[in-house]
Formats: sequence, structure tokens, C-alpha cells
Amino acid sequence: MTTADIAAGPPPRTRRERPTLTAVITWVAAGCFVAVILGVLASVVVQSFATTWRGGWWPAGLTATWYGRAWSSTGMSQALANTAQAGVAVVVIALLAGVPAGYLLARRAFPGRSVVMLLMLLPIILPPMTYAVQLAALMYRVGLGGSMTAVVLVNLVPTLPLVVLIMVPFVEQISPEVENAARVFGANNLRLFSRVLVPLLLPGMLAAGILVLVRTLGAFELTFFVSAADTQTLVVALFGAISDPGGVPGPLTAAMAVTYMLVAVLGLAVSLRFVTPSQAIRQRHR
Amino acid sequence: MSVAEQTTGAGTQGSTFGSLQMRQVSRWYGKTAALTDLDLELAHGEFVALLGPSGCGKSTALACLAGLQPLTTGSIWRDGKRIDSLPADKRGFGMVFQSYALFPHLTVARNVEFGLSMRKVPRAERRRRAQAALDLVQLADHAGKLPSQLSGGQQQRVAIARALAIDPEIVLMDEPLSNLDAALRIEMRTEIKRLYQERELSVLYVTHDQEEALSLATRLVVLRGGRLEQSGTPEQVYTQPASAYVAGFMGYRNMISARVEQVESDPRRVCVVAGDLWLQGTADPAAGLRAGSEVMVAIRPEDIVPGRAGVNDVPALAEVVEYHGRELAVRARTERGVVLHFRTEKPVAAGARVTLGAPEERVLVFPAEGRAEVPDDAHG
Repeated sequence: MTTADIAAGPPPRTRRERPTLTAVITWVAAGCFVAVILGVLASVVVQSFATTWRGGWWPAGLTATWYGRAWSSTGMSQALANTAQAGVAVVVIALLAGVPAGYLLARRAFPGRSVVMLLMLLPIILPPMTYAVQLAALMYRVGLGGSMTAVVLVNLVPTLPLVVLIMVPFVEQISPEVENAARVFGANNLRLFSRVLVPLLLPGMLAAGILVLVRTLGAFELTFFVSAADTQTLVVALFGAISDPGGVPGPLTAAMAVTYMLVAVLGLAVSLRFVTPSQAIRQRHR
Repeated sequence: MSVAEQTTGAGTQGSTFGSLQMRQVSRWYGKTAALTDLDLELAHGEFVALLGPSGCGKSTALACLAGLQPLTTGSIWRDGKRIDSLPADKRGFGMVFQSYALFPHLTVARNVEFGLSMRKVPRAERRRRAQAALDLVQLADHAGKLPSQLSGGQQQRVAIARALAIDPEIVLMDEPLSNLDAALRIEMRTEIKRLYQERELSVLYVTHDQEEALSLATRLVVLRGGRLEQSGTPEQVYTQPASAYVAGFMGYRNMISARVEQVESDPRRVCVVAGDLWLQGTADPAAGLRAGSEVMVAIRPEDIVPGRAGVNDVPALAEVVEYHGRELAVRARTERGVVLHFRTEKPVAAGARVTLGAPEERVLVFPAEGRAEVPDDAHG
């Protein structure tokens, strides 16, 4: 340190704080966790490009042909289309029904309200396996078994309550006086909804939509029991390939898994692009 | 022609409004009555203040009028047309809410334009009128901001601009100043009075603050338990409260339980006793007081005069002296423990002996009522 520095005033603090033991343990544990996940992901990606890989650190040779085979032979394009279709349908229906339901539940006091809220929680916290089979049986009984409608319907069972529960606090956050003001200044029900409530609820609706999409993409048990070969989603197709006793080659399933991951990540990335709540609000009134 | 068009048309011309009446309006929540048989009139150009403690039904009355709550019984009339079955969005009132109730997702300008865009006013005119309304409340520079970027006082001015932008003939205000701090409240009060005078509005103003009501209103309506207790000019209500309840609300800080000793030949003159306090007071002959009646005596602190006044003199001990700038507020106690509050410009020290008196026309005597019914500001 020069004399000029001292003359200029107190020296800036350059000494770094020593990390505490807790911090070190936390960082090491977090590092291990991330490393394991990345390792598993990397092995799947590598395997999907392998010609053969029997033990050892690296496969014998690399090839991109598994992706082509996965696409052509296992009905992957069909499964992809089904996944998109089911995802969009479930999100749209869950929001259309769940937002008004959430509004009513937040605004109206009625006897048994807390019981309704509790019942809403059930399909969300119960493992889907506990009711998937019965639900599938019901679908076959009413003649919907194997259809796309059935896939959408069973996926609505856990996701619709999810939307309702997410929306309730978002609605409660809007002051009833704001709604009163809209009415007094001339807004009928439709305009109240479209000009005031929807813009204010948009962040909540986007968040709910994303969670519903993620849940539908990953819903294995529910979809598995009601879908047929031509209505199965990507996860179900993946499971079918892995559990095929005929022995689908490992790299082929790995290629399918990578495709599934890409779809999920892409869907999430696109959704998160829109869901930052502050951004969502700001876009409304440039 | 639809009702909507009628209301919109009326809302843009001004000066067609004659009077607004609530007739025998009651509003029940389950088994409790918030309003009972309320008759209320707002004539063109009036500034009526609905005054009372919280729970007296004043906000309910306003909500019924605005169409935000249904009536249980009774009717609402505007210039001979019954409007109580019209939905809120068809009544065409301007309204200012206690919590401002601005639309948080809209800019200040869009907030002010809201009523106009609901009325399908063309965009250019909408802009012009919103701008004019914002000029009126001196917020033109903030048109592009969001409500959350403004201070409380600015937000309330936006709310007022929003109400005025639609050129309403009637403006309803629901405790618009109660969320503001003391200094801002006084400033905004003057602002509201200025707008009322400049725009020749008719205003119905709900408040629990007697000072606000007295300074703004041309007529005061005091509510009690959902019923009308007294209605009159601010001066009438202030100097001649109709009951101990109203007196308690109007700054009569000395509320003393007493007993009538004697009613004089002039039935307005009564002599009452409370402890060692013998007072000549004034009562409404209609109250039917007689010797032995339990009464409540109301005296304003500024009506009690220290030093021998010649009437109602009583010796007392000054206990607490508060300095209020121009004058002192003193709490004194008579020998037998009656507490008296008074104000004086002369120096008084705590512990000093004083003689207090009050002119008999300023000692108001009311029939006693349950103590619990006297309004309690703590709930206000």
C-alpha cells in the first residue's frame, strides 16, 4: 500500500472473509449433488451416441443413427405429437375451469369451504398410483379407454385442483375495492374479468399453466393405464421401450430419453420466457 | 334507448341532476341490521357528510347507493326514477374509495381513462379529458407512472381524478382521507373543497372524523346504529347536538352523568347536580325532563371559562396541563372528583387551584342513555 492510498482515506477492505465450516460443508455437498446429476445425464447422452458400450469409461465408437432409429421404429413422432396435444389440452382446460373456480373459492364464503380446499389437496398429494388403476377402469367402463380424451381427462384429475389452489392466493391479493371501483366506473362482469381480473391474475395463470404442463409431461402412471399404442405420450413410450423383454438396444432407449429431456427442457424454457411475473405485468402497459 | 345510454348521456351533460333520495332503506346481514329505515337526500350542489363511528352503517349506506350492495328493503330514487335495481355499472356515479382502489396494472393515465373507455368514449377525447382531470389534481407529470410508484396522497389524487374524469353529477366518497397522515389529510381536505366549489359537484361524503365533516359539508347527517340520529347544517349539529351521542361525537369532551334537581318555569332551563357540581343548563323541552331524571351533561372544553364567570362556578384543581401553542388544554378535578376538561389562553400550572364556570346556554342537558352507546373514538 502506498502513502498516497493512505492519504486518500481509509484503505478499502481487501481481505476476504474466511469461509465458515458450515459454508464449506454446504458447498461440497451441493457440488457432489450437482456432479452426480450431471454425470448421470452425461452418461445417458453419451450412450445415445454409442455404437456399443460394455463397461469402461468410453464407448467403442460413436454414431448418430440411434436417433434416426428411435424416430422411425418406435413411434416416437406419434408419441411426441400425443404429448404436445395432451399437454396443450390439459393446460387450456385446467386454466379455463380452474381460474373461475379459484376466484369463487377465494371470494365467496360458504359453509364447508375448508373441506373443499382439503379435498382439492388430495389428488395433488396422493401418489397417482393409488388411484390410477381405478380411474383407468372407469375410463374403460364408460368406453373412453385408450382414447386421447381419456388421457386428457385423467391428467386433469391432479392438475385442475392444482390450478385452483394456485389461483386462490392470487385472487385474495386483489382488493375487493378494486373490483368495486371497476364496477362503479362502468365495467360489467365481462369487462371486469377481461380488463381487470385477467391482467391482474396473469402471473398466477402462467405459473399454474407451467406447473400443469410439467406435471402432464411427466405423468406416467395416469397416462400409462388409459393410453393405447397410438395415444401414448413420450414417457409411456419410453417405459415401453425399456421394459420390452425383446431387448431394445440400450442406446436406442437412451436416445429416446434424451429426446424426452429436450422436449421437457424446451417446454420449460419457452414457458419461463413468459412467466416472470414482473415482466408479464410490464408487458401489459408499455 | 338503453339504461346505459341514459346514464352515460346524463353523465356528460351536467346540471340535469336534481336530487338523489334513499327512502326507508334497510340492509340486513343475516340477522343483524346495518341500516334501518334510512331516509337520505342529496340535492343538486350539496355536500352531504355522513358521519358516525365505525359500524354505524355509513359505509353500507354508500355501498347501497353505489349499487355495490343490495337493499333489503326500501328504494333509491334519482329525479323521480327508481334506480335501486340498476347494477353498479349503470348508475354513473363517480366514486372515491378509502383504499384508493386504483387498478395496479394500469398507468395513472389509463386509470383516469377507465370510466371513459367503459363508456366507449373515442380515444382522442378520452386522452384529452383524462389529461384535464389530471391537471385538475396537479398530477399531469405523473401520467405514465404506475400507481405503485406514487405516494399515498398522489394515489388518492389519481382516484379523485378518475372519479371526476367521467364528469359525474354525483360523487360518492368513502372515507377518502383516512389512510393519509395528518398533514396530508388537511391539505387534501382543502383540495376536495376546492374541487367541489370549482366543479359545482354534488358530493356524498362518508367519514368518522367530525372535523372533516364540519369543514367540508354543507349538510351533516349523523348516523347511529344504522339509523339517522341528526341532520342539519354543520353549525346546527355543532352547536345544538340532538343527543348526548351526537354531542360526544362533536367535540363535547365533558360528558357528565348527572341528575335533574329542578326544572324552571322556562322548561328550557334546568338545574342539574353531579357530585359537588351544581349546573344551570339548557335542555330541549321535548325531552320531558323532570326533577330526579337521570341526564347526561355535555360541555365543550372551550365553553368552560376559568375565573369567576358568575354562573355555574365551581372550584377545581388543575391536574394535567397540555401546551397547544395558542392555548392550554387542562384537565381539572373538582373536590368531589368530577373531571372537567377546559381550554384557556391564560397561564395555568398543574396543581393550581382554579374556579371554573360555563354560560348556561352552553351547558347542554340530555336524557341519559346507556353509557355504552356514546361513541367511542377508539373504534373509529
